[in-house]
Amino acid sequence: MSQEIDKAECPFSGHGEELVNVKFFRGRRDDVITASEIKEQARSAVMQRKLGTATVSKAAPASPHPVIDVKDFVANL
Amino acid sequence: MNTSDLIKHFAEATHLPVDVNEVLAVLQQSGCDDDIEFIGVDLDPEILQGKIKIFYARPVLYAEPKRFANIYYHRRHGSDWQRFICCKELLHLLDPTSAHTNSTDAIDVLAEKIGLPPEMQDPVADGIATNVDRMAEWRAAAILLPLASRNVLLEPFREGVLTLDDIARMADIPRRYVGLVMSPIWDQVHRILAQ
Repeated sequence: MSQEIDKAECPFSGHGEELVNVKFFRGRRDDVITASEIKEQARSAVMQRKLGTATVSKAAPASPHPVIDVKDFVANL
Repeated sequence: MNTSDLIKHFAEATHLPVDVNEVLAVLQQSGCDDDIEFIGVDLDPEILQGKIKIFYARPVLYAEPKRFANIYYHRRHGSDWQRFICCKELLHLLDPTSAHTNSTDAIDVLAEKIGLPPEMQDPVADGIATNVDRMAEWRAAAILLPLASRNVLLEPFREGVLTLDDIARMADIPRRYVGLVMSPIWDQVHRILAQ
């Protein structure tokens, strides 16, 4: 198990939690995005979760598009 | 299971869109019992579009620690980006220990490296944690636009009957990743990702 990080030391870990892994999905900006900017967004995300304003689900976002078989689709083009 | 197994699992799929919940189900069937939450929040997508935090915590006092995974995504995105971000982050459940980021210093380094634009990236010097984070986008593309589907669509795409926008709509993933998958180098890239 990885080292335990106290809440006061790291905004990515809550009290009594043992952090395993953190990864980011970079924003679309073409220039340098600073670590501070990324960490502020990450902090805000956690705060939205704590405030109850986030949308929380056990299921991943689903597509509204109908499922098609591409073989059938291409055959009928 | 590792990410290459997952890519191989979906490689033969010819139905689109591939549901991220199918990916989740395969992970769970292979023994993953992490408590996973998908959390839609308002982010500045120019800076950060999503993140995952994996951690151990005790569900109740004195209980055995359980592994949790919180996957955050920008909820104002369309379904193409939301699904892509969540799939990419989900794949980090399979990261090898050597690629984990779990200290304040390591998170600082990762955030700094991830913030670099492509022309300033240095895969040799940036370290495994950063490279695994970047590569996960390619892996998500391989899963959400499987090789068999890509190969079926390749001829009508090359003939101009289908455009990148058409295929992006079919797969319900961002167009930029469709461009990568439909490019001539993808056969080689997919082979490497599935190794």
